[in-house]
Amino acid sequence: MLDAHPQFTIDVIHGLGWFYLVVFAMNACWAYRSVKVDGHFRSPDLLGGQDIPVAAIWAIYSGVLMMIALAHILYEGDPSSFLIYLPDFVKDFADGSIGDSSKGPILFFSGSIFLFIAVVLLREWLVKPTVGWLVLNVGMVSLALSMTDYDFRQIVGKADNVPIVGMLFIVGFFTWLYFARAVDNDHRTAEGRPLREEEDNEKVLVWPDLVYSELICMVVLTVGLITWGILLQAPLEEAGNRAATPNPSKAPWYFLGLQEMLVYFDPWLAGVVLPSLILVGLMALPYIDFNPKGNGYYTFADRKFAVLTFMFGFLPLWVAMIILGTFLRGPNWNIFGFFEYWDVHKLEVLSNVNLSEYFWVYSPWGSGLPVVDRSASALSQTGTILGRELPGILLVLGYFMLLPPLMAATCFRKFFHQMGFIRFMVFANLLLWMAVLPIKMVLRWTFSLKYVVAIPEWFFNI
Amino acid sequence: MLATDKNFYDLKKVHVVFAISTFALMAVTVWMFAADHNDEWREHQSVMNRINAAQTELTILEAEAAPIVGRSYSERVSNLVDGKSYSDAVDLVQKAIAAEEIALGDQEQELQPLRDKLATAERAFDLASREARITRAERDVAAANHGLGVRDKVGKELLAGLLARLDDWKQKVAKIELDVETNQRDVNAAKKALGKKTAARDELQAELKMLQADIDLMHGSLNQIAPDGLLMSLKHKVMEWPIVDGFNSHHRLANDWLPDLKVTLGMATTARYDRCRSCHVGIDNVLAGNKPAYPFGKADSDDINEWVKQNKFPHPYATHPNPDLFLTAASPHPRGTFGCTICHDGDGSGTSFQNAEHGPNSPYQHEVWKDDHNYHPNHHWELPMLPKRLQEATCLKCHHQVDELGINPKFGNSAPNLYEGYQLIQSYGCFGCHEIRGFDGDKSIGPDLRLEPDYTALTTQFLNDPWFKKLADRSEPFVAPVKRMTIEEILAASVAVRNNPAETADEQQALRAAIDAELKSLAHAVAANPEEAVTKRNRLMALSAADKLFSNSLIEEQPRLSAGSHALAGELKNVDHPGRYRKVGPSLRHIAAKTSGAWIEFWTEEPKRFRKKTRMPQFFKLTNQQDAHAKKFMPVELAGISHYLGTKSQPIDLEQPAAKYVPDPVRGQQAFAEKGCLACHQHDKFPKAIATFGPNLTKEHLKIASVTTLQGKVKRGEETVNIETINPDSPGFKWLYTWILDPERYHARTKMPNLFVDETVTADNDPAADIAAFLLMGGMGEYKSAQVGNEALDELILTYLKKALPIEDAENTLKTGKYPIAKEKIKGDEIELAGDGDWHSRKLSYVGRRTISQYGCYGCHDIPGFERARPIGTTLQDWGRKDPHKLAPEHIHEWLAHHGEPDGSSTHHRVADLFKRGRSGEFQTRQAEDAALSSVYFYDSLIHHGRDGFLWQKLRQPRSYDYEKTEIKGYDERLRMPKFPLNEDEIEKIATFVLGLVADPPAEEYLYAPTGDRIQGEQLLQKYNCVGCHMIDLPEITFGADLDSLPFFTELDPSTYADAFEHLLKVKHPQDADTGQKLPTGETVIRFKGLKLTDPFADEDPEDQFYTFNSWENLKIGDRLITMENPKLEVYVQNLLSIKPARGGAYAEWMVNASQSGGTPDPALRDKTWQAAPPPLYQEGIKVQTPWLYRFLREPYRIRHTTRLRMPRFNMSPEEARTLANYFAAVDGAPYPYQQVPERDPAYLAAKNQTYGSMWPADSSYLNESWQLLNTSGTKGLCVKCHAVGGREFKSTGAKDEVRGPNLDRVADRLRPDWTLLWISNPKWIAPYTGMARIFNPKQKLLENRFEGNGRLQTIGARDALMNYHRLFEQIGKTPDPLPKAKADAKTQPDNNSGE
Repeated sequence: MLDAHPQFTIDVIHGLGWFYLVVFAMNACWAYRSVKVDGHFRSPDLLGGQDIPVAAIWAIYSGVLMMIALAHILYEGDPSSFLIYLPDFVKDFADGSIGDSSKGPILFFSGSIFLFIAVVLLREWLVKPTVGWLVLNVGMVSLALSMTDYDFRQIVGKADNVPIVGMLFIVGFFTWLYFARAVDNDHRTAEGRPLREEEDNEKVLVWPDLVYSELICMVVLTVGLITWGILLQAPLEEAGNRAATPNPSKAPWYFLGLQEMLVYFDPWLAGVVLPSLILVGLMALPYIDFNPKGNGYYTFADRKFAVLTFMFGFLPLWVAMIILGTFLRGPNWNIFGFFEYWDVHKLEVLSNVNLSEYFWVYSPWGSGLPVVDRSASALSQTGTILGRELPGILLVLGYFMLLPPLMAATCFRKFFHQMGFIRFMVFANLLLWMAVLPIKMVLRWTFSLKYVVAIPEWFFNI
Repeated sequence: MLATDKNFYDLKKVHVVFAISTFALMAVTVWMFAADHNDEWREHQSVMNRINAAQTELTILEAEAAPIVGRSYSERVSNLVDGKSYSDAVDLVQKAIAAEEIALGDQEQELQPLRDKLATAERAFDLASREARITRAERDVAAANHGLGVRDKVGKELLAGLLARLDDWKQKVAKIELDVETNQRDVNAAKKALGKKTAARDELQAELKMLQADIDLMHGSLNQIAPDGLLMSLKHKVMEWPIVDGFNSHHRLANDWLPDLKVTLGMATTARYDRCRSCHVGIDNVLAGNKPAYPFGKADSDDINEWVKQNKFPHPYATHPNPDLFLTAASPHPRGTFGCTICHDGDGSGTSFQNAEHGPNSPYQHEVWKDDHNYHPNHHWELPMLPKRLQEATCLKCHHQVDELGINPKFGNSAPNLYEGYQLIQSYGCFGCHEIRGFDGDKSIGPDLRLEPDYTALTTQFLNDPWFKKLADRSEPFVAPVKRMTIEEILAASVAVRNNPAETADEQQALRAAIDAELKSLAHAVAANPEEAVTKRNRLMALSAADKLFSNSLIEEQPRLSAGSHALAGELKNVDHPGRYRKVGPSLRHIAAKTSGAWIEFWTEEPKRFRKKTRMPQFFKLTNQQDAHAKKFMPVELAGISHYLGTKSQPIDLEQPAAKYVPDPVRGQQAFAEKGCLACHQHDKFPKAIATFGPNLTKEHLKIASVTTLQGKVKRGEETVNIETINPDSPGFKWLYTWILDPERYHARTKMPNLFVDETVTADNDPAADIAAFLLMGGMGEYKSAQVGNEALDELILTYLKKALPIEDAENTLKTGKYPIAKEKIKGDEIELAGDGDWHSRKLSYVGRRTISQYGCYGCHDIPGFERARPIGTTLQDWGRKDPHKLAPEHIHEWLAHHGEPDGSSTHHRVADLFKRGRSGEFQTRQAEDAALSSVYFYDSLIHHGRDGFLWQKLRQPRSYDYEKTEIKGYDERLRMPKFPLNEDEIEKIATFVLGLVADPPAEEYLYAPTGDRIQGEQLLQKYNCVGCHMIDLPEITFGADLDSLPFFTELDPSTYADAFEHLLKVKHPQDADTGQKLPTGETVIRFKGLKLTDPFADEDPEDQFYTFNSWENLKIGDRLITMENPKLEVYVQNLLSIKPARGGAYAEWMVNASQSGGTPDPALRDKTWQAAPPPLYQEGIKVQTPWLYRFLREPYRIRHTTRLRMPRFNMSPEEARTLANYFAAVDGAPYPYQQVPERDPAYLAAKNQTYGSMWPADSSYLNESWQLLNTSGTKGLCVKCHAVGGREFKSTGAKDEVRGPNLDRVADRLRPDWTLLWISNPKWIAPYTGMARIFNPKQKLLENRFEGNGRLQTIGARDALMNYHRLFEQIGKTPDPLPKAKADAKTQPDNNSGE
């Protein structure tokens, strides 16, 4: 009471206790599994050099978790003097980097790309069950620790956002699963062993195996949804009012990637063209794909380009944008750190400049932006406008018209030969469109570039 | 079927998984049902059920235990059971029945045949009845068939057959009905025969049934609520189960659908749907007499039976408080029409504690709710329920006039917090800066608190136009004499002149003079009487416009009036729904005549330093003015203000006492008390007179400039003394003297009345001068003007100028002293910089003007140059719904954490400490806790960015939102709201009012629009402080009385006429004095209105100490009366419960008490002082004629010669006087605005003439005789002894107890006939203290030649003569005095003593 932003309340502490208890239970099971699977390791000589079962480490870890859980659950004192929380320096560090409006988006985006590359490069190591389990543990424990922060809790604990947190774990799990299977198959191929899918080539009967398991899945899913529905009430907000827009106004979570694009593109591009292209592109994939490998089994080695391209589009460009939009975009669509108070007073420097202004105003040869004479004829106005935006128009035309032949001639020569002209042009254009988003982001961050082509007269900006 | 035996999964395992999953599904489905069914309201309804059951059980027990009184029809039983308890009575009656049965048993042989006979008869009757039923049905079918036959045109033959069939059945029916009748008779006869034998027993049985009826009924209802039997209780239980409860269960949602009472959520407006009663089950349950069925209270235990026993119920079971005001069908807010959320807000559709959006009264309650109901505030809901402390705010949605909430004849002050907030806002004049607009177009949206259009100030300033000055300065008149022309003539002449300029030189001159004269005279007229002068205002505007339009082509190049004056004239237009409030501060238009610049600076800097209780807020030295910048600029601003006010102050004609008059401060002190100053003002010389309407005048002399003293001689009694006194020639003295004599001259809109002090001026006694001297003794204080350096001045000016000019121009202006824009083109405050007077002076004026604009000083004061200025603050009419996001709390959290208290300590700490104390249960009562946690509540709201908290802090420390902001704001961008001397309690009350301003009125039929006079009258009583002098309502005394000791009316006093007494009861209806309550000691609580006569004697034994009171009412207790015949009541100290003070009249009471200061009470002196004091206006409505009161309020004159001060003339518009006059009649339910005086009707007089024609000589008539009653002079003279009547001036005889009454010539217009009759019958029935005696009474015969000395007829005659006074005076005139010769033997004819 009397504190608008309490880091702790007794309910939060108890809730976290139950959360830790779940993590403890999971790890206890893991320790049990470890006994059977993991074997022993030799401790350093300093400590005696005995053989120690790996499971012991998990057991100790589980024990610690249990004690932490009990410490939370049994705590009844003054919430503000509870001791297990995320240290301030961690928060300060995180907020200082991500929450800084000038470099936050850059850090976040480059970080997600870096993470993406790291995952690809370290896949062999990551797919080990123990590593995967460790990553899961790190995720859950840091989530729990972060929950000790009021502002983090407000965002993550919002009833709308709970599924997104769940989604992150699910995306993580399925990505891990893909890599685990793919790496396994790649090893098999390399070693000349049959693929996993071939080895388990049991035909499954529609009845009872498929239908029955589908039925069970349906029932279990229903159970899950009902339970969720009871425990987490529908997040109703105030009645709609066009005179009072919520700040921030957010699209449904699955569209937050698109909304993020609105920061960089005009609505007609970000809201119409790009989503349409995504759909068209997804539809066109089977016709573009000329690689016969990888059908019906997991693989990475056989389809590197396809997998990397798709994953790049999905993970950093879609999922990461959802995370950014959900957790980091606050009032006025400013960027906020995970642990930062969403203060409407935070401002961002609005200093973006159009390409035409760079060309006509800021350049050494700049003579001032050509001014459209409203009294002149339509043709002359059009001429002035097009002339003004010529650098941008040329750049865009060049991007979409010059780059594909260039690509065909250089790095994608093999693709061009395999695909033929039309297929390649479709492919190249889709690829270029996908690249548009990161390119524009980078241009914005490095040059404060607003629009490449800016024709507000016709509501046309690129 | 399986295709093969081989399955991918192990089927057994899959079955197990499937089984588990289905069980899980089953479990969650049940869980879902349970969770859905688990509504709080079901539990509450169950508990309510149990409460009802327990209550019914208790009632049954009580009823059974209560002795039976008069509950039997028959005397026999009555004797048996009277006074017995229920069970004993039942027992006794049952025994009696048994005894009768035994007695009957003895006669069995006789009875049996009778019984058999009855049985046979009944059987026969039964059979016949059955047969009759069937036969009738057959007949009906036959009739119907016949009808169908007619319809189908079946042909004559067939139809005849059908008819025959019908007839056949009819006959059968007739026959069987005859049988039935016979059988019925047989049965009756048999019954009678049997009954004769068993009569005694039957009667007893009937009595038993009746005896048990009530209890049985209660058992029945108990069985409904909590069934006893296994089957019933099982059914009861089953009906509460999920799903089953959908079929007419006793648990159900209670819905109040209010289609006309819409609620706006987001964009949508929808009907309210309140389900609050689903949990608040007993909320509208009342018992007979509007008593709550479940009074709210905290019982000692959680046991329901205990609640019932103690009759205390917690929420949500308790009944709404004040059921006569809320929820019941007879109340003004019936539940079915108003629902709940219109007053309480919250979510009416919500069916859980959380979803109803309850609002905790303090963070402490919030915590309790969190524990009990898992409560959390939901910021998504736009209309959260108001906490109890602010609950009254919602009254404003419908009660736009507010006053009716505070003063209501039936409900009293039903919204005390809100009402006080409203009064605080009025007294501090918040609307000077914050407009509170009550109208959206023509639609009333809330309280309307706005400043009036200040036509007076506008026209006064208009008259200040340089052109008029020039006119005045001209030594020769323009064209003399000025020809007066109407506006139409002027306009026509203008056109003529314009059309033919060359030939109309003379006309031009004349026209010009005419316009000038007309402009000036109109302006004066408007200034003097702004409310009435609608036409004149319009004409003034038209003329001013004409000056602007026509002048160019007419005479001069330029319009003669300045642009500023044209703009002023433009403001004179009529406004729809003009504001009603005057500026709360004094006018500063002529301030130079009153005080010095140094004092203005001293005062403005920190008003409370000079006058502790001043209402003027503090603008300087506040929290955002503690930095170096502010310290440098504040003295400049203050100097600027005082310079501006001083230089713009306009001259005023001052009065002064007669030459050589020496004012006497000692006599002045006396006059100060006697002239009524103390009714509004306080002075430390009179510590017991408390009045806060006007300022405390003790230190008045310290602020009035240019006062000198002199030595003089004054007469005190017989001796002449040398004194030091104030020089009446000194300007300050003249100012105060003029102000006392004629306040409106100084301030046209002042509320200070004209006291007619000048009326009593004589050569050696000028009370106004004496009062002025009294107030001015001591001389002015010393005040230092701040030394304003050029540097700070220039810096401040530059800050301002940069906003108005390009930076370079601004700097140049400062260097050169020349403003770059021509004066005529400047619209803003920079106009002060233009021109070519002294540059330093111009600079100071500019800063002054700028500062006045900045702080909006003109919101409260009339300041020259600001006639057209608009309020500076944000409007408040919809502040209660202001989006909290639009508030700027800035760094208030940090401010309160580290500062925030007057001593600089942390508010957070104080609040946290209070909160802790609240949690530890330190506050014993709910009220104490609520009060203590007020700041905690608001603090909590503030840190959650709520508007309640924002407002609280804004009123506490208006500038604190600038914490750490002053560094980054321009000096002129800082917050400027001043700090008002409010305490936290007052802040909460103001907040209640402001938060109620939502500009969201419900449908029109819900708006409470009381008829104007009463409510507006209340406003006027306060506006003009009528209650300062007059008691509007008398004190109300409540005491516990042993009824036997009261002086009940038994028989008429021999000196009272019976019909006079009847008239008394008619005019003053007996009031019900019995409150219906009883003291624990058994005494009845009695309530009456009256004046206290004496206090208890301290020397007496404490048990024998008593007060005496005069009751001013006839009192009714049961069917007994206490009448004004004996109005004196003695109340023993220990029996007195309360004396509710009088409404108003503090000054009169002070006068009376001051007269009694001698020690032993002197009743005669007491009465005398009352006669000299302002009279109570109790029941004034039935006394005076409304039109007279209107005229009197406008132009009061002296009525009573006994009073020491006379009614002053208030600065009241005709409209206000009318309202106030009507108000008094409305309060007393007397007819208004027009009154009949039937006593003037010819028919009435003819009837009188006829009735009493035999009583007088032939040449006389009824009126003539009556006139003689009034007019008889000499020792037999009655009225003339005390009153001036019939042209005879009152002549004092010098007797000690002589009282001069009011002149009687005014009675006819002034008094109502009924009242007058009562007054003459017995004046003490109306005003017990009066000096007027009862003249006509049965015990003595006066003027036996008139009406044969019948006092009653004389009374009526005197009244009728008074009512026809003017006619009679016209017709008869003064009764001829005794002949001159009689004068000589006056001694022998004493009854002819002259009445000249």
